[in-house]
Amino acid sequence: MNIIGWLALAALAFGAGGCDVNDAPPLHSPEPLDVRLPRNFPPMFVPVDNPTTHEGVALGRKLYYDRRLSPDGSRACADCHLQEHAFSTPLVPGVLPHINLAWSWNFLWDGEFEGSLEEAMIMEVEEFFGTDVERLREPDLEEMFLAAFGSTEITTKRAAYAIAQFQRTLVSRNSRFDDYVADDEAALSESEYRGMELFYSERGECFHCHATSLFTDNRFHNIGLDADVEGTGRGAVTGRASDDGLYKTPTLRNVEMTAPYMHDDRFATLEEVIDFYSEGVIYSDTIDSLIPNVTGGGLQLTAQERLDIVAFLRALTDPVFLSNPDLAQP
Amino acid sequence: MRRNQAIAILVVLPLLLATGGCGGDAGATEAAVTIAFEHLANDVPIVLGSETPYTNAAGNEFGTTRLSYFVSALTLTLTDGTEVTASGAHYVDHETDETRTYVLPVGVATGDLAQISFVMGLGPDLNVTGAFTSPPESLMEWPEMMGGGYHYMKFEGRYVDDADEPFNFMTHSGGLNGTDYSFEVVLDATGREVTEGATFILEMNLEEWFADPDTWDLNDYFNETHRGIMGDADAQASLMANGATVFSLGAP
Ligand code: HEC
Ligand code: HEC
Ligand SMILES: [Cu+2]
Repeated sequence: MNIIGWLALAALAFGAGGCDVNDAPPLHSPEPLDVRLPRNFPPMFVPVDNPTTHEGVALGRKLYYDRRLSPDGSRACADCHLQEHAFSTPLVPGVLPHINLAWSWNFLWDGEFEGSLEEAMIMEVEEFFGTDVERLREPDLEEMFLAAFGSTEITTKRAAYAIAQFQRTLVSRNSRFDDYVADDEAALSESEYRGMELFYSERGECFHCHATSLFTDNRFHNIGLDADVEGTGRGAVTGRASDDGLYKTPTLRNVEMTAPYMHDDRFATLEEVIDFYSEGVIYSDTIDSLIPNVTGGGLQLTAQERLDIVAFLRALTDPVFLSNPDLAQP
Repeated sequence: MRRNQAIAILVVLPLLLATGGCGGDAGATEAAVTIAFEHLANDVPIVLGSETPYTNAAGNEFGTTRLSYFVSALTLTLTDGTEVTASGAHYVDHETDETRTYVLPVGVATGDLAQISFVMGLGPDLNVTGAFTSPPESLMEWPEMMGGGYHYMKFEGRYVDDADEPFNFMTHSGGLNGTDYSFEVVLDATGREVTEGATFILEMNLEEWFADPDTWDLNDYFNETHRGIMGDADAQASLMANGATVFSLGAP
């Protein structure tokens, strides 16, 4: 018998014992939500103390879009993380998108935060936002907390857990590349196909870092953006010189919608990014061993190869994700 | 895999029951055995980094930034012929201490050891796309366009090229387009004994990948036009041949 069953029995027992059951919290059982994944995705880890439920996700979504989450009511997560930009924005510097974060264990460009999705959301709510739970004690939200967690008690932890549940539904898996992988040979144009071949070859050398179906290895690399990397990036967090100039590999899913590019927004377009990998690579001590031709500027791609690879990157755009009403402002 | 295990249990269980379970004779005592992985270059333990402190047979100065690989089907053979195989693969990453010790998932009968053998990489039964769904193992993926499955090894670093400039090398091995380049390594272990808690040290001598029988001048394998060796069948076959002398057992 599950816990709810036992609770029901216990409640019956109390009832039979003549207690006043009217004050007892109503029995609740949020309805489990199963996030569907394609075969080539890794299994999604869901902690036992925060199962994904319809009610939890609904609350998380509500809070994500609700300015009451900030103590002065000035901002919501969605003010910087906009769905049409894959939950990033061109208007605020360096915003990372929210795509498939269910599989992340390193957060922020320099990995300042390491841990579970729940812990990351607690950090965002408690430290970044400094959420004041008093502000959330309003009937509409209390009702949603009750549905999601079984009581109207509102804590920053519960708010963060609900947002984590919502994050687990921000799964991008419906690009034309995914159609191709799912056996739709016609999903990619000839140029996109050539771009894919290049992406997964050692001539293009993209796949070791932008790895797996998530298009990120969740690790840190110096890709050769700057000559002087001392004390920057991951190194600023760990204090190790060998980490200087390293940044978290961003996913390339929906990269068409997340301009400008790199941790400091230095490139406005994907073409500029590819030109960088082709000619603009600058040697520094910590440059990654997966960057070819480090003292010769990089890949030296032909004009056609550049077009092809950009075309392939655009085939990673997921129109369902960008417009799914279930992820939009409730 | 899983089904084989299930069948194994079905077969073994009645046997155990029939022989009265654990109450057998003293000779059948089983020990937990650990394999510790150590990585050397020019006889010293490696330190990952951008420097190039080591030298290979061709005279290239090199250093290493990343080293990860799979060993599989690790087998201990005793002098009395007893053979125990740990099925499946073990992932080693120099950067992650936990991966550098492998507590064998099977008990080993105590007694005198004759040899330790294993497959460097993944044999065809294990080298199947989707076999590893989570990191770090899943990050060893080998592109579908080159036949799918997983890298056997990523051994990367920097060498000083003919122009006296630092150049990256990526000694990545794996099965290429259906050809399996994994190989069995057999190490003589006479004089060693399996006792409870025994640890055996498996050493990888990095410069040996580039020598014996084929001497690798890194300028030929990693240069402006030939950037890597994943798609190079000759290079994969050569690594397989050179691999025979890469491993040794550490001092007991
Ligand atoms: C004022 C704009 C702004 C708001 C509001 C905002 N963020 Fe962010 N977010 C950013 C920026 C900028 C980054 C990247 C910062 C960095 O890496 O240094 C980021 C990064 C993140 C990341 C890391 C993603 C990754 O791939 O590592 C997470 C998670 C995140 N935000 C969650 C939230 C949540 C949850 C909220 C609401 C509680 C929120 N953010 C509100 C600007 C914002
Ligand atoms: C050594 C690992 C590595 C390799 C190889 C690599 N990348 Fe990256 N990529 C990164 C990292 C790390 C960043 C972020 C760097 C930063 O901001 O400092 C990045 C950033 C990007 C961005 C910008 C994304 C954004 O949202 O800002 C694009 C686009 C990109 N890479 C595409 C590619 C392509 C295409 C290739 C192959 C030609 C490639 N990468 C090869 C690690 C790598
Ligand atoms: Cu590789």
